Amino acid sequence: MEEFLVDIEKRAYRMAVLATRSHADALDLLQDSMIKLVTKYHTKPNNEWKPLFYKILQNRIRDWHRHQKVRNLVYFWKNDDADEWLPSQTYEAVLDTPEQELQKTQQQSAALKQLEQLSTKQQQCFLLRSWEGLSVAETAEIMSCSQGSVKTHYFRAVTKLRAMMEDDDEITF
Amino acid sequence: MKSPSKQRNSQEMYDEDKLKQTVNEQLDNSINRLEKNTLADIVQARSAALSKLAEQAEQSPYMPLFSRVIDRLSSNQTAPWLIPSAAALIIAISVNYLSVEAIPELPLALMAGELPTEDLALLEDLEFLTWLAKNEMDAVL
Repeated sequence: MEEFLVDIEKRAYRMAVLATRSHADALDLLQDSMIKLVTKYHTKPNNEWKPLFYKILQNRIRDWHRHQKVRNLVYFWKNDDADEWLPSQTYEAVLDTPEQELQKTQQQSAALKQLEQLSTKQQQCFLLRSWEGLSVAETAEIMSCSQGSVKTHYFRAVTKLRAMMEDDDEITF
Repeated sequence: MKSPSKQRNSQEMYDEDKLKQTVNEQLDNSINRLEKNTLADIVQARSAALSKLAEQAEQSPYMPLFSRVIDRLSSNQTAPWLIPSAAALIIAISVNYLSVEAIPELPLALMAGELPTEDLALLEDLEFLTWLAKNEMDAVL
């Protein structure tokens, strides 16, 4: 179980951060998901841990968004800084030329920002399908929606990302 | 020779694969370059989860049924009112069950006959009287 968590924790953290845009909240969701997996499902076969973990994480993300909606309704007069960002946005220096390092950092920031601009469902669907390599059926099970919805979310995510990347970076796909 | 629509589909798939590759590479780079503080926080979260697993392993495997039920009910986010309602219902049933009117009357035939002294002493015990009355009622039924 520990090996599984070590393997998956960084990607899960990144998914939670993209969904919540907050390091603290993402960490809470990650820890809650890990605790639920190890306490409730550690007896399940190893090959079921990954979809189970992501299902738990997706449920936590969905609950977090619902909570935020209610919170925003109640505290609508508070002006949260939407641009507040996270320590993970800065990157450690590597042995590249300054120009290469700057270009890499800009590209990485651009990809994350473009993913942020997608809706939560499109974003998470894209990450599960493309980054994690899960099938349509597995993604539908994790996101508690139909396979048709998964295909729709994924198609829209790809379309939007393509448009954004072509606009921002003048890259043609 | 492929039809134009098939050519377009092939081109779109190629574009999609290229886009996926680009985004995935950037996502992989982003997690490979996480700050040390962030990595430490993630490790701490993992340790907290694994310590829960260790605690659970130390507990008796045969959790009382009642605590299992409470654990399941308390984890149900959509029905937080279940436990207080269940507690109120249990208390209401208990109070009604223990009310004085629920104690069956003594059978008169038992009191009419002459009883030995020892039996009389036992009969003075309320619980024994109740049990005796209940048995008589069950026999009649």
